[in-house]
Amino acid sequence: MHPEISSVNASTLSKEEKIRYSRQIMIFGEEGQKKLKSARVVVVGVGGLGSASSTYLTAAGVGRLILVDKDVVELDNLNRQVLHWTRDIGKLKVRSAAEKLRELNPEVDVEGLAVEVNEESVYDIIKEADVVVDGLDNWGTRMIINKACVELGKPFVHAGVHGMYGQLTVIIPHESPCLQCIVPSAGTKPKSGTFPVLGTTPAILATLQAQEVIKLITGHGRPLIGKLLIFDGTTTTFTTIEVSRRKNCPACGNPAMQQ
Amino acid sequence: MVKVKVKLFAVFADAVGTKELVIDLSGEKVKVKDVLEYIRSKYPKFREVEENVPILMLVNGINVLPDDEVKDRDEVSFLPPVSGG
Repeated sequence: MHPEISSVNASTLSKEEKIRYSRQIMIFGEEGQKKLKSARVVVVGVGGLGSASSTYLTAAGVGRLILVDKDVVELDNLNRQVLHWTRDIGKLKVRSAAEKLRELNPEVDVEGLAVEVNEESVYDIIKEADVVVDGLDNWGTRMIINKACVELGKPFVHAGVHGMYGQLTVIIPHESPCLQCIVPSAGTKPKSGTFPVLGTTPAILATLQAQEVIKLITGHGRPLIGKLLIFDGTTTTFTTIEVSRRKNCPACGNPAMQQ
Repeated sequence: MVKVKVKLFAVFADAVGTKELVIDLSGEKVKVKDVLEYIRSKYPKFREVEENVPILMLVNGINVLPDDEVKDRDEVSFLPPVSGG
């Protein structure tokens, strides 16, 4: 487990759990699976990104999954938000998602919060989290989450998408650059517009997010900390660049820090 | 004269029509914003895209701000971090 994450291991795995997770236990052992079982993950936004990340986190057996989204399912969501089906139009996204995730894996405690993320609500939303997962659709709300994660020391797994493009990074507060360090020119007002997106793009980025969460929790592999992965789906290209902390970052900056 | 290689990603590459440019800029002290201004003046579409998309600016792979300096033979990258979900 990444040193930033300090939840207590769930003590045992049932016989069924050992079978359900047997193929991944071959990767990180029962110890890794127990760490997943005792982890609490908050997915903020259950749209294109959140549908895919929460599905894989549920299948992988995180102990507690908290979904946050105030919106209801609309017809034009369905090309990409694959946890929501035609029959769910008009239903709260957290309800639609939680119903299916519980069926996928009843071992996972799935909770839905139909609340707005703002500067007041954010602390309550993420306080229980071992890891926070970005499923948002605008910079403003992302920056609210980013700042709260920095303040509370929560790892934050960011992704964003547009068309066939996307990016991904793992933020460990005070160790890696935060989102504000990386994108200082992003707007801070919560504003979500209509953006073009092919359903496969958030699926690609969000499955990578889920994988990074699992790596952080189990301690297996090296998470994408201090690096930004850029995905170009038009040419099927992944580029990884190093990103650094910004000395005077308004969210995480330490004026005494050497750059 | 400062010669820099500019790497463009995603919608910025689409706007300029190429993923890579090599440009010469005159002056002793060249800043990242001078590189941006050069591209804006030569490729109006870049400016259009820029109005709606924040820019992540890198010099030799390190994220920088518009007022940071660019030296001869540096590699400057402009990436559009995207915000949809």
